[in-house]
Amino acid sequence: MADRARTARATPVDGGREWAAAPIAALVADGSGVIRSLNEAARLLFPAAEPGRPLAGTVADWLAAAHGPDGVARGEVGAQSFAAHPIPHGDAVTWWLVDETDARSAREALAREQERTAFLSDASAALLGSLNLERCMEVAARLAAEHLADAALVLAPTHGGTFPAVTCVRGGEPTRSRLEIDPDELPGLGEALQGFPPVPSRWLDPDAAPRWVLPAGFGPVGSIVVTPLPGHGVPAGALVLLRRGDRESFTDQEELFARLFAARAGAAMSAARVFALQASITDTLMRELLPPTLEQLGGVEFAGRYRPARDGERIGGDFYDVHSAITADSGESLAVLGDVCGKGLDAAVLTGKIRTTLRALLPMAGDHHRLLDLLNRTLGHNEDARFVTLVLASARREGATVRLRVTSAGHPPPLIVRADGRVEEADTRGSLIGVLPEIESVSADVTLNPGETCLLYTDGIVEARGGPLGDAMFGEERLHQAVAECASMPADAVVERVQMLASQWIGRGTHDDMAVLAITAPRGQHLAAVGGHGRGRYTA
Amino acid sequence: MTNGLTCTWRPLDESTAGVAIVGDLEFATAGVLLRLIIDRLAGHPGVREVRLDCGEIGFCDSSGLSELVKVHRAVVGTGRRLHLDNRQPALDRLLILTGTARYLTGEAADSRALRDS
Repeated sequence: MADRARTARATPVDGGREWAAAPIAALVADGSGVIRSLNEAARLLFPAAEPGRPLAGTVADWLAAAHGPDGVARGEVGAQSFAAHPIPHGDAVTWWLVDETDARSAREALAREQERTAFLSDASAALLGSLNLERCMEVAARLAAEHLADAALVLAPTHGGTFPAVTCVRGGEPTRSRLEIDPDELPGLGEALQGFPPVPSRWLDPDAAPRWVLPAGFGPVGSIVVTPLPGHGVPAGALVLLRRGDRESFTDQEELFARLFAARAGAAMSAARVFALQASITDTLMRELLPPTLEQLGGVEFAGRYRPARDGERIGGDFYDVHSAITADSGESLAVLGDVCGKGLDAAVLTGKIRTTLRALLPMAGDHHRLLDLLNRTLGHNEDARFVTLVLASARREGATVRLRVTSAGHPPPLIVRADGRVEEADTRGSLIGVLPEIESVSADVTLNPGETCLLYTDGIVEARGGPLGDAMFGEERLHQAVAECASMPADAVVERVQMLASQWIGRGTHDDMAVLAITAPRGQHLAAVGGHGRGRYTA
Repeated sequence: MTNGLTCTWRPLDESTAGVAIVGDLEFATAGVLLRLIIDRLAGHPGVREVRLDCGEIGFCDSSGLSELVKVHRAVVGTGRRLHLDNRQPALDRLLILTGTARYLTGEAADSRALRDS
């Protein structure tokens, strides 16, 4: 029966019982649009249609209008969709009405899904475009307001009692705020923020919603949905979607879609949060490892400059410190400049240890060899044979001059720049610290007259490769030349100039950590006795 | 800037091994020499002396020196002797500057280092 009904026939089919019982609606109309006959299915579809009556007014308007031998017509009857296939015979036409409702809804569903998939993919890209939590929340609120609701509120977990929040109304700009609220005032929000997995979205009575949920001037709310934003192992926050009163409420599918979006937004916010946490930990730890800002101490000028080997890193294996006199009567400051073998974070961590140890050993600063020996025992024989080379310089102002006791421990000897531009190497030597069972050291006594400088530097300066061909070392001669031109300069100008020349030499090439520290006897300064007793104080 | 590093193990006689080092001993090449020495020492228990031929070492920075200290530990720590042959002036300067000459060169194996190990 069905087979015959689907077979196009050149002769009118308007009498057979089989045709009348066909499951597909069919009707025959003549050239003037008068119905000649119709089957049972067509009668059910068009109750007003009868043989002898015109198509117009009795069947669907789109079918009456399409009457003729040409082409398939499509339209709706009630909730159903049909494709009407005309089979002409003579001046009459038989219309076969094939139900397409399922196919159409499938097509529409497919288009909708494709649209959503595209949106989710775009949303992921937009959300992951920034590792900044606030920016991430703004993007999430804006996307949610544009695609899911009339307004969206994104809340991050509490931070010190307040909740970072971003609100966005469709078509508007996201606004940030910090809400001092009790999230439990909005049912489901408390749970969502604590990330009870999986918290289902909850339908809420809009009238029960607290005022802080609503954006200013939003008007009456029709429906509210609260969705958790799941993070990586920890909740990333919650998303509140609002629709106006005149819009229909959320369908199951829309709610599911909101959850898919929330998963992406939550992942992005979580990543941004973890990143921010890591960055703040790194910052805190790094602050301890950064070289200090130096200034005049006890009438002696100190200045330092540091450039880590890897651009983008702020720390490395070179370090310097200046410690003020630890005993009240000595008036002697201890400057230290050192170089831990290796680069980057590993070196920086050992550097931190050494600087702390040196601080603890300050009471021994009067005896450089003893201090170095204790440091050597403390570090002694680490597995990876890491060592440090360093220079100790104890400085004490005496009248207009500065008396120095300088000791090198496996480090290039400091350079002394005399007022007339002569450059001398301090006559000190000693073994490096950290790998040898016993160390030796020979200290040098140096007197700096006003304007004279003792420069401590790490081998990153002399070994800096660059120059015209990019492969020559900066070298000791160039360094001597550079510091010779620094006679009578303040300490800060000396380190600035040396660091600048070495940096220019390197250009874009690679280099090791570079550190310099200048100890300078100030020019033209006077001893000012304070209160008429004690050793007096030197003013800058 | 790195010239790379090639280390070659060559038996000199029954109880002596030579290692030729060609290239830069520095941060970028760290580990190459030490791995070779440790591997070969394990395979040649009869070797009593290791002679490093340092004639072709280009640049040696603090990481390179650290590597030599580790090699020294690996060789002397297992009761053998280490020699740094053909040292060029730059390497000698580095060993003297850092006070490691006596520790690292052959003489050191006789006195301080043995007492330590």
